[in-house]
Amino acid sequence: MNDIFAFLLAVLIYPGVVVAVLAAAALTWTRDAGRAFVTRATVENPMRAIRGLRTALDRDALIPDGAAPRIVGALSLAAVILPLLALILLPVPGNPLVSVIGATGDLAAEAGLLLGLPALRLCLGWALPSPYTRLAADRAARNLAGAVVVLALALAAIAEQFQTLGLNLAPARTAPATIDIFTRLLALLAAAFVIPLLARATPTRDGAEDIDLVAGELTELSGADLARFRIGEAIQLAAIAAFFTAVFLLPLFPTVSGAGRAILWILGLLFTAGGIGLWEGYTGGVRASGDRPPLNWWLGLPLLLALLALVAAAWAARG
Amino acid sequence: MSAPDATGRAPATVAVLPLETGGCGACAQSLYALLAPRYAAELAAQGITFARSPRHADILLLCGPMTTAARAAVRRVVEALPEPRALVAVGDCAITGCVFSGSPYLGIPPADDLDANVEIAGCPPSPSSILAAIAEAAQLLAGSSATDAAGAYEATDDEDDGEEEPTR
Repeated sequence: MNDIFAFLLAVLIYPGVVVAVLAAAALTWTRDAGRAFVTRATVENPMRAIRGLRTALDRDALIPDGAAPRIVGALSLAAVILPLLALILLPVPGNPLVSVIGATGDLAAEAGLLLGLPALRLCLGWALPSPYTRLAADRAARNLAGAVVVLALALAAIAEQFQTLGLNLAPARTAPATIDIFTRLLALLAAAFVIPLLARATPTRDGAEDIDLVAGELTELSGADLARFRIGEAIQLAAIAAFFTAVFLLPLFPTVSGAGRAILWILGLLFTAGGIGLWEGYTGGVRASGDRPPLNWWLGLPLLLALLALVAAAWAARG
Repeated sequence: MSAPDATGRAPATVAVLPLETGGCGACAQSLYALLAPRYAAELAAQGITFARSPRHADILLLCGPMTTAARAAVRRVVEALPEPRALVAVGDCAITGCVFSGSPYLGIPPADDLDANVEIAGCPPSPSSILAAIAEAAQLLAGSSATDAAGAYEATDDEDDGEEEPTR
């Protein structure tokens, strides 16, 4: 398979556009099912959600006075591209970029791409001349700042474990030491607290679990711009689930290979998406720290776990 | 205006935004009764949700008469709804002004001023009647009715028994 064909296959088919969209739809439904399980609500038919997005693409895209349409359009387009890139560059099994070009993935690059969509939402919230979007953006910025610190520490612990920033997803030949498993578990727990924030879908409908702010950063968007952000958020969920599974879950079972590893992948994706839904249903929204500053116990606990993971990783490296 | 669904069905989901333009609040209470668990299954089956922002809404529910103080703000909200959109005038006040008609603080009723697509009479109309009106507006959005069609529903019973059928 030549490089160009492999590149096109990776971008357009697997793990690119086609598979990303299918995975996004399936995992969004899984998240909604998880949330509905806790809130005892009904789960929306995924086909209806897809038809809704198609209808939304046909609606007028009204831009509020004082906002630049091109900037809003560019932000909404980037909201689709960044999580898609994160998925394409992840060295998932069978990724043509891995087998042909030898792409190994990069923890820092992946984390940066996954932070892209939340950052774009902040930019949009601040760019629009609306007090509601700016209020939402201010609060989201505080929460994101806390999440970034925890994620960086958790990733540092994992990088210390494997002595590389690359993503080596191949099964290991020997079982790791207990301290290594303990380190990876701590990193997983720390990351589990911030994953729902990165995979947040901005609520645009009234629901008992969303009573916090009148609206979010997307309040002023409509039509194709809003639809692109919603598509981006769905793909972001798929990318987050894949990233979490690859970086934090699979290292707990490093010697599993073959069909077992494939099953672990699928379970990991479903577990991540469903877990996010359960968490959202339980907390009544993903805004974990609400209007409070990020430096409260809600940041303190994952921060402590991440620091412990880092210490454990350093100890394991010594040993 | 978006192309109607091939089968003429209502859109996949419709987002509804209630808007009080004045009045006593009874229509709004009747409307918010739709958020009760009793109607959850029906709302889910018809794909009806409540929007948080006019930008995200397909249908605007106008409750109450149009006070002169509210007119400018209401117009801004209507303009904020992207096309295609539908306006539903809920209750007698929104259609004729009802008990408030003749007041110096009122303008033209919203149904006429804003050229509502669907009108539902009642003081207040029952939640199930409002639900039927929303479904009618959703059908209009799907293009299955004539563009200028306006359906007037009369609540046959002001008592809320949730069982009356809308009549034209």
